[in-house]
Amino acid sequence: MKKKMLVISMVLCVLMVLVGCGNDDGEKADKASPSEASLTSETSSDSDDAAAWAPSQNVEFIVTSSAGGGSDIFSRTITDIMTKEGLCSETFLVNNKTDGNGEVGRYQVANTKGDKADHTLLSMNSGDCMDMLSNTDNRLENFKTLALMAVDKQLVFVTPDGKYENFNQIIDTVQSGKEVIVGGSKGSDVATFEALLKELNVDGDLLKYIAYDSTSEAITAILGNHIDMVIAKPAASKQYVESESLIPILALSDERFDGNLGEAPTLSELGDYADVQVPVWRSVVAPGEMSDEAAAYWSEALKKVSESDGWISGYLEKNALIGDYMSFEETTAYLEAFQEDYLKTLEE
Amino acid sequence: MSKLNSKQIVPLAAITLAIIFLIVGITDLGFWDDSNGPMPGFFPVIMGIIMIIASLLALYQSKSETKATYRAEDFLVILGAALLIAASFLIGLIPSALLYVVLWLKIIEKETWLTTFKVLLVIGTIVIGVFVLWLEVPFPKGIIGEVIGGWLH
Amino acid sequence: MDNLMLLLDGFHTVLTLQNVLVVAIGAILGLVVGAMPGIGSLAGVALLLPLTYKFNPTTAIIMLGSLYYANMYGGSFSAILLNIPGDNPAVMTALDGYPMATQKGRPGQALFTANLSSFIGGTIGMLILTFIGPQLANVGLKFGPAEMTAILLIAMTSISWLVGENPTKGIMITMLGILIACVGMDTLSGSPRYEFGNMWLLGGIPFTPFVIGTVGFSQVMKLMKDRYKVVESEFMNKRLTIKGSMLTRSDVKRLLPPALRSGFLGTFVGVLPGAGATTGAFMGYGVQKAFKNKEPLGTGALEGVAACEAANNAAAAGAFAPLLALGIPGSGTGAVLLGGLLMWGLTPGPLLFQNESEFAWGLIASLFVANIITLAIALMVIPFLIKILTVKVKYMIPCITVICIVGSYSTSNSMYGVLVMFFAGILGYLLYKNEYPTAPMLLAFVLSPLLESSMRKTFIISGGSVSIFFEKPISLVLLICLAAIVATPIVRSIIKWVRQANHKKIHMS
Repeated sequence: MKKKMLVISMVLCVLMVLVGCGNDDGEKADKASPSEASLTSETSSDSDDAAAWAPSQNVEFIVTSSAGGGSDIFSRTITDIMTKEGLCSETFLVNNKTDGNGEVGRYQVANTKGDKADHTLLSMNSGDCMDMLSNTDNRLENFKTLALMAVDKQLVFVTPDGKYENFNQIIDTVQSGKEVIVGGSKGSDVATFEALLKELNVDGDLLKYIAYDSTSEAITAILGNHIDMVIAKPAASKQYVESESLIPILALSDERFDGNLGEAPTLSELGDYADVQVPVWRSVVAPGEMSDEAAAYWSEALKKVSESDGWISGYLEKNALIGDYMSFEETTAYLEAFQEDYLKTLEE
Repeated sequence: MSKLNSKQIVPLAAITLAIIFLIVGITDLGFWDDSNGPMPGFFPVIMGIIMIIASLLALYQSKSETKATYRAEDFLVILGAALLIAASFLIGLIPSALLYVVLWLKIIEKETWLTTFKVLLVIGTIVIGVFVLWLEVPFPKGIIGEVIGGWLH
Repeated sequence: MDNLMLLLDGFHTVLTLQNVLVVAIGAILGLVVGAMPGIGSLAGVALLLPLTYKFNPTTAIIMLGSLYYANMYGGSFSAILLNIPGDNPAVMTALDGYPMATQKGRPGQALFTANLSSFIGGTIGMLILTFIGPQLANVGLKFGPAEMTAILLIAMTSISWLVGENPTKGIMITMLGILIACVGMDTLSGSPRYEFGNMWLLGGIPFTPFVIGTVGFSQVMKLMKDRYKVVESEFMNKRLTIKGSMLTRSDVKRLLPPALRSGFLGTFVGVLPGAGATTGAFMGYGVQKAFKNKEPLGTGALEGVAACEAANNAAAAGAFAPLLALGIPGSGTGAVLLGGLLMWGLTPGPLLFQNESEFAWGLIASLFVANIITLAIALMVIPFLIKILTVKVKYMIPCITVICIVGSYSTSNSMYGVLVMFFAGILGYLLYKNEYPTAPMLLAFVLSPLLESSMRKTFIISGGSVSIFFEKPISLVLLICLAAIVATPIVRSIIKWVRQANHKKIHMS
């Protein structure tokens, strides 16, 4: 009898926990907006003019990669600069939410409401966005897309002792019906590869893509000549070009790159093709419920970050990125178009 | 047919799980592609089949095994942890954890307040000192904790 | 010899009073963080990275190195004393370390063994790194998908050493580990599988909370029956002193062969793409099973502790070879260290040793210094740490429960980790009660995703043909080894069976 009671109460407990967890996001959203708090913020924004909005509590910056990853460094650089330059007087709490491949963090931000919504930021890059669009029902409409901070493009590389010396040879090989193995990271590199396939009008069974967990793994594979060519971004590859262990053979851009990557032609230079480029972007977004005043504040603060020396020399140059700040309106339009295009390719 | 005990339930559960993985693997994920070889379902399907065979053998063997005995006391740990987790949604994880230590020592072990306090001090120092203050892990504050936090601000 | 001179120059840069102090602080912090379950070396180094900003690059990197190292030491402390692995590689340490500390009553020796073996493994790894680091990194490159598949198949056979008396249950539990690891995103196809429409499952079952649950939390449940057991105070008082913790001469003799062997093996595993310290520890332990041990592994054998601890630290050192020479981080922790290096404007990679030779050698020298100082500090705290065993079990039960919950929350800052830990704990308890071993499940969980992705990559390259495995010399050799490993016990049992049959015949006639 005692045992049965124990089992029943245990089951009840577990159920309670499960229900509690399932409702977590909803509850959080509710409790984050105690009527008192939102009232005070509203009255204050009524009396002052809109631009005078300023954060009044700790700001949570959600990152969907683990500590030390690309998005993490991006986010921590932004929060460091904002704190150092006095752009935000409140404390930033960087929170790495990696559950569910990052979808949990994105879902939570999308559903944050009330005063908390004004104090929540999320870093999102094109790879994150593609994952979200293809694996969940979450859409960019659920976010305020505050600012685009940087853009990155890719190149195709081969090794000096590999089978191919230039991209024309690869096109010829594929057209003669032989296989060429391409490596790259998951996410945004895959989209670029798909665009390349389409433009070259070749079959995916001939030009085959292997998705690695990271670009560095793909580069490891080509350095050992286990694959034929690799798609990589300048930051990850420039030192290998410098040491002559990788040769750039194609710029996936509408113009050539600078410096030692400049020898790689664009696709239109190689024949009757259009240039292939799928820019990889990094942006900062916020909950859809964020007030317009707060959104204007953050967008402006991010603009100041993008102009700061710490950002230009400490982040962009170090990572060989193209600084491409876009304001709130520009970002929204750009990302809407991105989402539309990507959803279209998913339907195909 | 004799009554089932956990010696049979474990392999039966394993078989159920393997069958689910098998069905999803074959119907949704795909098994083999002519030019790319194994597809996402290949590996789990093969492993699932092996698991079913092993589980069936384990099920057969279990008939000659002695029944596992459970001690009701052991389940107190599960119950306690479940209550702690449930309470964390209300009053936050850290307060629940500390409250749990106190309640456990008072109710289950019937310890004196002094001993309870000593243990609480040690575990509290570790949890708050290392996880909260130093590593700054953002623990959930719970519904009540959020409200109090709102007032304080 | 050039390298040695450069290394000595490196020591010259590193050995200042400030640096030594910083290493000591890093070691203490690392030990504490390492001992906490849920915060492995990856999160530990990442969380402590900001601490190092205040120093100049050399000092900062030295501190980071000692943090990294001390983390690995700390992980084994909680594994040995509480049966809760502080980090993933320590799962294997717990297998023999905990019984050695509790059943055999030799906690001090278990900790000494772990630390000394870690030191030996780490030193071997670093010496190899010093002399043939770049060359070794290039050998690592030769291991493509086909070769990795073959080597992982060999590693998987080491599971069979862990299954215990009942192979059927062992196989079943191994498959369970593999199926659980299949949940989540499939990188190669870029789509999720077995997530059953659940957003949380998109990212799969996180390994660290799973380990804390199956090993740590279930341990609390097992402890319930011992909670009023009185510790024999006289026995413990004698054992729990520095004198009673010292390794005897015969202990050292038992420790050295596995530590040396694992040191070399671990370094090699660390160099391989995608395999980290956890894989190193698993393989070190698996290999040790094949050798003679004074006591059977799994019952508190000193050799078991030595083999996996030496292997995981060696693997950590080995991972520096591709990191420094090629700019390729072999593990998550490596990636964070790479981030740290980049932050000081240093780009690891083919040019590091040419352009920043002074710094690169300083880093390697600092690893040696960090290793020695961390060992010294770890040895100093052992006498205090083992006192933990005198704490009554009934007080430990709520405390460990709290640490398990708080630790699993910290792995991803979410209650999901806690729930995974909770259910994994119940699973671990049920498996224990029904006499299933859990180690094969954890090993399969770690190795099978690597195996599956390597195998599928191989088939994409070969266009679905199996012949690729036999065309590549390295994978062919490895497969022959595999065949030998698999065939040996079968052949042996056939011979035994034939002999017995003959024997019977003789008796019959």
